[in-house]
Amino acid sequence: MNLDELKTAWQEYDRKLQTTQTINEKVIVSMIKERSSARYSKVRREYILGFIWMLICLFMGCAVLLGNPFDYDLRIQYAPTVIFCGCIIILLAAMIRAYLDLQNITISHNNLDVSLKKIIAVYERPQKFLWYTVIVFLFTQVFLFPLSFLPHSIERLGLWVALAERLIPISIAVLMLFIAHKLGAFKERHKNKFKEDLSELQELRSMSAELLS
Amino acid sequence: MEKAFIEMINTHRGIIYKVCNLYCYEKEYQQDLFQEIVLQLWKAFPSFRNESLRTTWMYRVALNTAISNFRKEVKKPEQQSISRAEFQIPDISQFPDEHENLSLLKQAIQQLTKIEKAIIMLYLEEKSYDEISEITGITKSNVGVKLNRIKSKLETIIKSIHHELR
Repeated sequence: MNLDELKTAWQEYDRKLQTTQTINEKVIVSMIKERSSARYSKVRREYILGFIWMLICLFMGCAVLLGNPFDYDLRIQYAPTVIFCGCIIILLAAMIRAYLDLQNITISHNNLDVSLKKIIAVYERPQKFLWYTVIVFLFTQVFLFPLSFLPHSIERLGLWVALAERLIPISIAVLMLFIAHKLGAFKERHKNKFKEDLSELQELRSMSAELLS
Repeated sequence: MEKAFIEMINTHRGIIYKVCNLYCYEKEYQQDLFQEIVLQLWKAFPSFRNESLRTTWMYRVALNTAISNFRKEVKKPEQQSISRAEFQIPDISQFPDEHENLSLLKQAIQQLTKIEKAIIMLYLEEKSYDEISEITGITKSNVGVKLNRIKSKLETIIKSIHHELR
Protein backbone atom coordinates (compact mmCIF):
# COMPACT_ATOMS: atom_id res chain seq x y z
CA MET A 1 0.00 0.00 0.00
CA ASN A 2 1.64 3.24 -1.13
CA LEU A 3 0.82 6.81 -0.17
CA ASP A 4 -1.56 7.33 -3.09
CA GLU A 5 -3.52 4.30 -2.01
CA LEU A 6 -3.54 5.70 1.52
CA LYS A 7 -5.00 8.93 0.23
CA THR A 8 -7.66 7.06 -1.74
CA ALA A 9 -8.55 4.98 1.32
CA TRP A 10 -8.77 8.11 3.42
CA GLN A 11 -10.96 9.89 0.90
CA GLU A 12 -13.23 6.88 0.73
CA TYR A 13 -13.47 6.95 4.52
CA ASP A 14 -14.29 10.66 4.39
CA ARG A 15 -16.99 10.08 1.77
CA LYS A 16 -18.56 7.35 3.84
CA LEU A 17 -18.53 9.48 6.97
CA GLN A 18 -20.53 12.10 5.12
CA THR A 19 -23.17 9.51 4.35
CA THR A 20 -23.64 8.64 8.03
CA GLN A 21 -26.77 9.74 9.80
CA THR A 22 -26.85 13.40 10.81
CA ILE A 23 -26.67 14.11 14.50
CA ASN A 24 -29.94 14.93 16.15
CA GLU A 25 -30.35 18.63 16.95
CA LYS A 26 -31.32 17.90 20.55
CA VAL A 27 -28.24 15.77 21.04
CA ILE A 28 -25.94 18.61 19.98
CA VAL A 29 -27.71 21.08 22.26
CA SER A 30 -27.64 18.70 25.22
CA MET A 31 -23.96 17.99 24.51
CA ILE A 32 -23.08 21.68 24.81
CA LYS A 33 -25.16 22.23 27.94
CA GLU A 34 -24.06 19.05 29.64
CA ARG A 35 -20.36 19.61 29.11
CA SER A 36 -20.46 23.32 29.96
CA SER A 37 -22.43 22.83 33.15
CA ALA A 38 -20.38 19.82 34.28
CA ARG A 39 -17.12 21.66 33.77
CA TYR A 40 -18.39 24.94 35.18
CA SER A 41 -19.89 23.42 38.32
CA LYS A 42 -16.77 21.35 39.05
CA VAL A 43 -14.38 24.28 38.68
CA ARG A 44 -16.79 26.59 40.49
CA ARG A 45 -17.21 24.19 43.42
CA GLU A 46 -13.47 23.73 43.85
CA TYR A 47 -12.75 27.42 43.70
CA ILE A 48 -15.61 28.37 46.03
CA LEU A 49 -14.38 25.90 48.66
CA GLY A 50 -10.85 27.24 48.25
CA PHE A 51 -12.00 30.84 48.53
CA ILE A 52 -14.08 30.15 51.65
CA TRP A 53 -11.22 28.33 53.38
CA MET A 54 -8.76 31.08 52.57
CA LEU A 55 -11.13 33.84 53.63
CA ILE A 56 -11.65 32.13 56.98
CA CYS A 57 -7.87 31.88 57.44
CA LEU A 58 -7.44 35.50 56.42
CA PHE A 59 -10.19 36.58 58.80
CA MET A 60 -8.47 34.78 61.65
CA GLY A 61 -5.12 36.31 60.74
CA CYS A 62 -6.64 39.78 60.63
CA ALA A 63 -8.37 39.16 63.96
CA VAL A 64 -4.98 38.35 65.51
CA LEU A 65 -3.44 41.48 64.02
CA LEU A 66 -6.27 43.78 65.07
CA GLY A 67 -7.44 42.25 68.32
CA ASN A 68 -4.09 41.08 69.72
CA PRO A 69 -5.58 38.05 71.52
CA PHE A 70 -2.11 36.72 72.38
CA ASP A 71 -1.05 39.93 74.13
CA TYR A 72 1.90 40.65 71.90
CA ASP A 73 4.06 43.51 73.14
CA LEU A 74 6.62 43.75 70.37
CA ARG A 75 6.02 44.43 66.71
CA ILE A 76 8.26 41.53 65.72
CA GLN A 77 5.82 39.17 67.42
CA TYR A 78 3.26 40.02 64.76
CA ALA A 79 5.64 38.97 61.98
CA PRO A 80 4.43 35.32 61.68
CA THR A 81 0.80 36.46 61.45
CA VAL A 82 1.70 39.13 58.90
CA ILE A 83 3.56 36.50 56.83
CA PHE A 84 0.60 34.14 57.29
CA CYS A 85 -1.83 36.79 56.01
CA GLY A 86 0.58 37.68 53.19
CA CYS A 87 0.75 34.04 52.09
CA ILE A 88 -3.04 33.74 52.19
CA ILE A 89 -3.42 36.92 50.13
CA ILE A 90 -0.84 35.65 47.63
CA LEU A 91 -2.60 32.28 47.39
CA LEU A 92 -5.95 34.00 47.00
CA ALA A 93 -4.57 36.22 44.24
CA ALA A 94 -2.99 33.19 42.55
CA MET A 95 -6.29 31.35 42.74
CA ILE A 96 -8.24 34.27 41.29
CA ARG A 97 -5.67 34.64 38.53
CA ALA A 98 -5.71 30.92 37.74
CA TYR A 99 -9.51 30.96 37.75
CA LEU A 100 -9.59 33.89 35.33
CA ASP A 101 -6.93 32.25 33.16
CA LEU A 102 -8.98 29.09 33.00
CA GLN A 103 -12.08 31.06 32.13
CA ASN A 104 -10.29 33.05 29.46
CA ILE A 105 -8.20 30.33 27.95
CA THR A 106 -9.43 29.81 24.46
CA ILE A 107 -7.80 27.44 22.10
CA SER A 108 -9.97 28.22 19.16
CA HIS A 109 -8.30 31.36 17.92
CA ASN A 110 -4.75 30.12 18.03
CA ASN A 111 -2.81 27.62 16.05
CA LEU A 112 -1.48 24.49 17.70
CA ASP A 113 1.94 25.93 18.48
CA VAL A 114 0.55 29.02 20.23
CA SER A 115 -2.06 26.97 22.11
CA LEU A 116 0.55 24.56 23.43
CA LYS A 117 2.76 27.40 24.62
CA LYS A 118 -0.15 29.13 26.36
CA ILE A 119 -1.21 25.98 28.14
CA ILE A 120 2.37 25.22 29.19
CA ALA A 121 2.63 28.72 30.65
CA VAL A 122 -0.63 28.24 32.59
CA TYR A 123 0.66 24.92 33.93
CA GLU A 124 4.10 26.14 34.91
CA ARG A 125 3.37 29.39 36.66
CA PRO A 126 1.19 28.30 39.58
CA GLN A 127 3.22 25.16 40.30
CA LYS A 128 6.45 26.98 41.14
CA PHE A 129 4.78 29.96 42.71
CA LEU A 130 2.48 27.94 44.95
CA TRP A 131 5.32 25.66 45.96
CA TYR A 132 7.40 28.57 47.33
CA THR A 133 4.43 30.16 49.03
CA VAL A 134 3.40 26.92 50.70
CA ILE A 135 6.96 26.39 51.98
CA VAL A 136 7.02 29.90 53.49
CA PHE A 137 3.52 29.33 54.90
CA LEU A 138 4.44 26.04 56.57
CA PHE A 139 7.75 27.36 57.91
CA THR A 140 5.97 30.34 59.44
CA GLN A 141 3.26 28.21 61.04
CA VAL A 142 5.53 25.50 62.33
CA PHE A 143 8.51 27.54 63.55
CA LEU A 144 7.84 31.25 63.63
CA PHE A 145 4.35 31.27 65.11
CA PRO A 146 5.35 29.27 68.25
CA LEU A 147 8.42 31.49 68.56
CA SER A 148 6.26 34.61 68.59
CA PHE A 149 5.36 33.70 72.20
CA LEU A 150 9.02 33.56 73.17
CA PRO A 151 9.23 37.04 74.80
CA HIS A 152 6.45 36.16 77.26
CA SER A 153 8.01 32.79 77.98
CA ILE A 154 11.41 34.40 78.61
CA GLU A 155 9.80 36.79 81.09
CA ARG A 156 8.24 33.89 82.93
CA LEU A 157 10.87 31.16 82.62
CA GLY A 158 14.19 32.65 81.59
CA LEU A 159 15.93 32.23 78.22
CA TRP A 160 16.94 28.57 78.13
CA VAL A 161 13.83 27.11 79.72
CA ALA A 162 11.67 29.32 77.51
CA LEU A 163 13.51 28.09 74.42
CA ALA A 164 13.02 24.51 75.55
CA GLU A 165 9.36 25.20 76.27
CA ARG A 166 8.85 26.68 72.80
CA LEU A 167 10.33 23.54 71.32
CA ILE A 168 7.25 21.63 72.51
CA PRO A 169 4.68 23.24 70.14
CA ILE A 170 7.26 23.23 67.35
CA SER A 171 7.88 19.51 67.87
CA ILE A 172 4.13 18.84 68.00
CA ALA A 173 3.61 20.76 64.75
CA VAL A 174 6.49 18.93 63.05
CA LEU A 175 5.19 15.61 64.36
CA MET A 176 1.66 16.35 63.13
CA LEU A 177 2.98 17.28 59.72
CA PHE A 178 5.05 14.12 59.64
CA ILE A 179 2.08 11.94 60.67
CA ALA A 180 -0.15 13.64 58.12
CA HIS A 181 2.53 13.05 55.49
CA LYS A 182 2.88 9.39 56.49
CA LEU A 183 -0.87 8.90 56.48
CA GLY A 184 -0.89 10.18 52.95
CA ALA A 185 -2.64 13.49 53.55
CA PHE A 186 -0.38 15.18 51.02
CA LYS A 187 0.75 12.13 49.13
CA GLU A 188 -2.24 10.20 47.86
CA ARG A 189 -4.39 12.92 46.43
CA HIS A 190 -2.02 15.71 45.69
CA LYS A 191 1.13 13.85 44.74
CA ASN A 192 -0.67 11.78 42.15
CA LYS A 193 -2.37 14.85 40.80
CA PHE A 194 0.96 16.66 40.77
CA LYS A 195 2.59 13.74 38.96
CA GLU A 196 -0.17 13.69 36.38
CA ASP A 197 0.20 17.42 35.87
CA LEU A 198 3.95 17.06 35.52
CA SER A 199 3.70 14.25 33.00
CA GLU A 200 1.12 16.22 31.09
CA LEU A 201 3.42 19.22 31.14
CA GLN A 202 6.28 17.07 29.86
CA GLU A 203 4.07 15.77 27.08
CA LEU A 204 3.03 19.28 26.11
CA ARG A 205 6.66 20.40 26.13
CA SER A 206 7.77 17.53 23.92
CA MET A 207 4.93 18.24 21.50
CA SER A 208 5.87 21.90 21.41
CA ALA A 209 9.50 20.94 20.75
CA GLU A 210 8.35 18.53 18.06
CA LEU A 211 6.60 21.37 16.25
CA LEU A 212 9.79 23.42 16.30
CA SER A 213 12.17 20.66 15.24
CA MET B 1 -27.21 31.24 15.96
CA GLU B 2 -27.92 27.83 17.44
CA LYS B 3 -29.50 26.67 14.19
CA ALA B 4 -26.51 27.83 12.16
CA PHE B 5 -24.16 26.09 14.57
CA ILE B 6 -26.05 22.80 14.46
CA GLU B 7 -26.11 22.99 10.68
CA MET B 8 -22.36 23.57 10.58
CA ILE B 9 -21.67 20.66 12.93
CA ASN B 10 -23.80 18.35 10.85
CA THR B 11 -22.36 19.50 7.53
CA HIS B 12 -18.82 18.96 8.72
CA ARG B 13 -19.39 16.18 11.25
CA GLY B 14 -16.85 14.08 9.34
CA ILE B 15 -14.02 16.36 10.51
CA ILE B 16 -14.88 15.78 14.17
CA TYR B 17 -15.43 12.04 13.66
CA LYS B 18 -12.03 11.70 12.00
CA VAL B 19 -10.20 13.59 14.73
CA CYS B 20 -11.96 11.52 17.41
CA ASN B 21 -11.11 8.28 15.65
CA LEU B 22 -7.51 9.33 15.21
CA TYR B 23 -6.84 10.47 18.77
CA CYS B 24 -8.98 8.17 20.87
CA TYR B 25 -9.36 4.44 20.47
CA GLU B 26 -12.02 3.69 23.06
CA LYS B 27 -15.65 4.54 22.32
CA GLU B 28 -16.21 6.39 25.57
CA TYR B 29 -13.14 8.57 25.09
CA GLN B 30 -14.15 9.27 21.52
CA GLN B 31 -17.55 10.46 22.67
CA ASP B 32 -16.02 12.62 25.36
CA LEU B 33 -13.61 14.15 22.89
CA PHE B 34 -16.48 14.70 20.46
CA GLN B 35 -18.40 16.59 23.14
CA GLU B 36 -15.35 18.62 24.09
CA ILE B 37 -14.72 19.62 20.48
CA VAL B 38 -18.38 20.57 19.99
CA LEU B 39 -18.21 22.67 23.15
CA GLN B 40 -15.01 24.43 22.04
CA LEU B 41 -16.54 25.10 18.63
CA TRP B 42 -19.69 26.46 20.28
CA LYS B 43 -17.66 28.75 22.53
CA ALA B 44 -15.70 30.10 19.58
CA PHE B 45 -18.57 30.18 17.10
CA PRO B 46 -19.76 33.75 17.85
CA SER B 47 -16.28 35.13 17.18
CA PHE B 48 -15.70 33.18 13.99
CA ARG B 49 -15.24 35.89 11.38
CA ASN B 50 -14.89 33.91 8.19
CA GLU B 51 -11.28 35.11 7.97
CA SER B 52 -10.29 31.56 7.23
CA LEU B 53 -12.23 28.72 5.66
CA ARG B 54 -14.83 27.23 7.94
CA THR B 55 -13.28 23.79 7.58
CA THR B 56 -9.81 25.14 8.36
CA TRP B 57 -11.18 26.76 11.49
CA MET B 58 -12.94 23.55 12.49
CA TYR B 59 -9.76 21.52 11.97
CA ARG B 60 -7.85 24.00 14.08
CA VAL B 61 -10.30 23.82 16.97
CA ALA B 62 -10.72 20.04 16.75
CA LEU B 63 -6.99 19.31 16.57
CA ASN B 64 -6.15 21.86 19.25
CA THR B 65 -8.70 20.27 21.53
CA ALA B 66 -7.56 16.74 20.79
CA ILE B 67 -3.88 17.51 21.20
CA SER B 68 -3.45 20.22 23.75
CA ASN B 69 -6.44 20.44 25.96
CA PHE B 70 -8.02 17.07 26.23
CA ARG B 71 -7.20 15.45 29.55
CA LYS B 72 -7.56 11.72 29.42
CA GLU B 73 -8.15 11.17 33.09
CA VAL B 74 -11.30 13.29 33.38
CA LYS B 75 -13.32 10.64 31.70
CA LYS B 76 -15.76 7.85 32.30
CA PRO B 77 -18.61 9.27 34.31
CA GLU B 78 -20.52 6.58 36.15
CA GLN B 79 -23.78 7.19 34.39
CA GLN B 80 -24.30 7.33 30.67
CA SER B 81 -25.70 10.70 29.69
CA ILE B 82 -28.53 11.15 27.21
CA SER B 83 -26.26 12.43 24.50
CA ARG B 84 -23.88 9.51 24.91
CA ALA B 85 -26.64 7.02 24.54
CA GLU B 86 -28.18 8.76 21.56
CA PHE B 87 -25.22 9.12 19.26
CA GLN B 88 -22.40 6.89 18.12
CA ILE B 89 -19.22 7.90 16.36
CA PRO B 90 -18.87 5.84 13.19
CA ASP B 91 -15.70 3.80 13.41
CA ILE B 92 -13.45 2.93 10.48
CA SER B 93 -14.24 -0.75 10.96
CA GLN B 94 -17.91 0.01 10.33
CA PHE B 95 -17.20 0.30 6.61
CA PRO B 96 -16.69 -3.24 5.37
CA ASP B 97 -15.94 -2.46 1.67
CA GLU B 98 -12.66 -0.73 2.35
CA HIS B 99 -12.11 -2.35 5.70
CA GLU B 100 -8.70 -3.79 4.97
CA ASN B 101 -7.04 -0.67 3.59
CA LEU B 102 -8.67 1.60 6.11
CA SER B 103 -7.83 -0.50 9.11
CA LEU B 104 -4.25 -0.80 7.86
CA LEU B 105 -4.12 2.96 7.52
CA LYS B 106 -5.62 3.41 10.97
CA GLN B 107 -3.17 0.94 12.46
CA ALA B 108 -0.25 2.75 10.83
CA ILE B 109 -1.41 6.22 11.84
CA GLN B 110 -1.88 5.08 15.42
CA GLN B 111 1.86 4.57 15.65
CA LEU B 112 2.59 8.20 14.84
CA THR B 113 2.95 10.95 17.45
CA LYS B 114 0.07 13.33 18.10
CA ILE B 115 1.66 16.10 16.04
CA GLU B 116 2.50 13.72 13.19
CA LYS B 117 -1.09 12.48 13.19
CA ALA B 118 -2.36 16.03 12.79
CA ILE B 119 -0.01 16.78 9.92
CA ILE B 120 -0.63 13.54 8.04
CA MET B 121 -4.37 13.91 8.51
CA LEU B 122 -4.29 17.36 6.97
CA TYR B 123 -2.13 15.99 4.15
CA LEU B 124 -4.59 13.15 3.51
CA GLU B 125 -7.36 15.75 3.49
CA GLU B 126 -5.40 17.44 0.68
CA LYS B 127 -4.92 20.64 2.61
CA SER B 128 -2.39 23.05 1.14
CA TYR B 129 0.90 23.78 2.91
CA ASP B 130 -0.50 27.21 3.74
CA GLU B 131 -3.51 25.71 5.50
CA ILE B 132 -1.41 23.13 7.35
CA SER B 133 0.88 25.93 8.43
CA GLU B 134 -2.07 28.05 9.55
CA ILE B 135 -3.58 25.22 11.59
CA THR B 136 -0.42 23.93 13.23
CA GLY B 137 1.69 27.05 13.48
CA ILE B 138 4.64 25.43 11.69
CA THR B 139 6.31 27.47 8.97
CA LYS B 140 5.39 26.56 5.39
CA SER B 141 8.88 25.28 4.60
CA ASN B 142 8.94 23.19 7.75
CA VAL B 143 5.61 21.63 6.78
CA GLY B 144 7.25 20.15 3.67
CA VAL B 145 10.20 18.81 5.63
CA LYS B 146 7.97 17.29 8.29
CA LEU B 147 5.59 15.79 5.77
CA ASN B 148 8.43 14.03 3.97
CA ARG B 149 9.66 12.61 7.25
CA ILE B 150 6.18 11.46 8.25
CA LYS B 151 5.52 9.91 4.84
CA SER B 152 8.64 7.80 5.00
CA LYS B 153 7.88 6.85 8.60
CA LEU B 154 4.38 5.83 7.58
CA GLU B 155 5.71 3.77 4.68
CA THR B 156 8.09 1.97 7.00
CA ILE B 157 5.28 1.29 9.47
CA ILE B 158 3.01 -0.04 6.74
CA LYS B 159 5.79 -2.28 5.43
CA SER B 160 6.37 -3.68 8.90
CA ILE B 161 2.63 -4.28 9.39
CA HIS B 162 2.54 -6.09 6.04
CA HIS B 163 5.57 -8.09 7.10
CA GLU B 164 3.90 -9.06 10.38
CA LEU B 165 0.72 -10.09 8.58
CA ARG B 166 2.58 -12.50 6.30
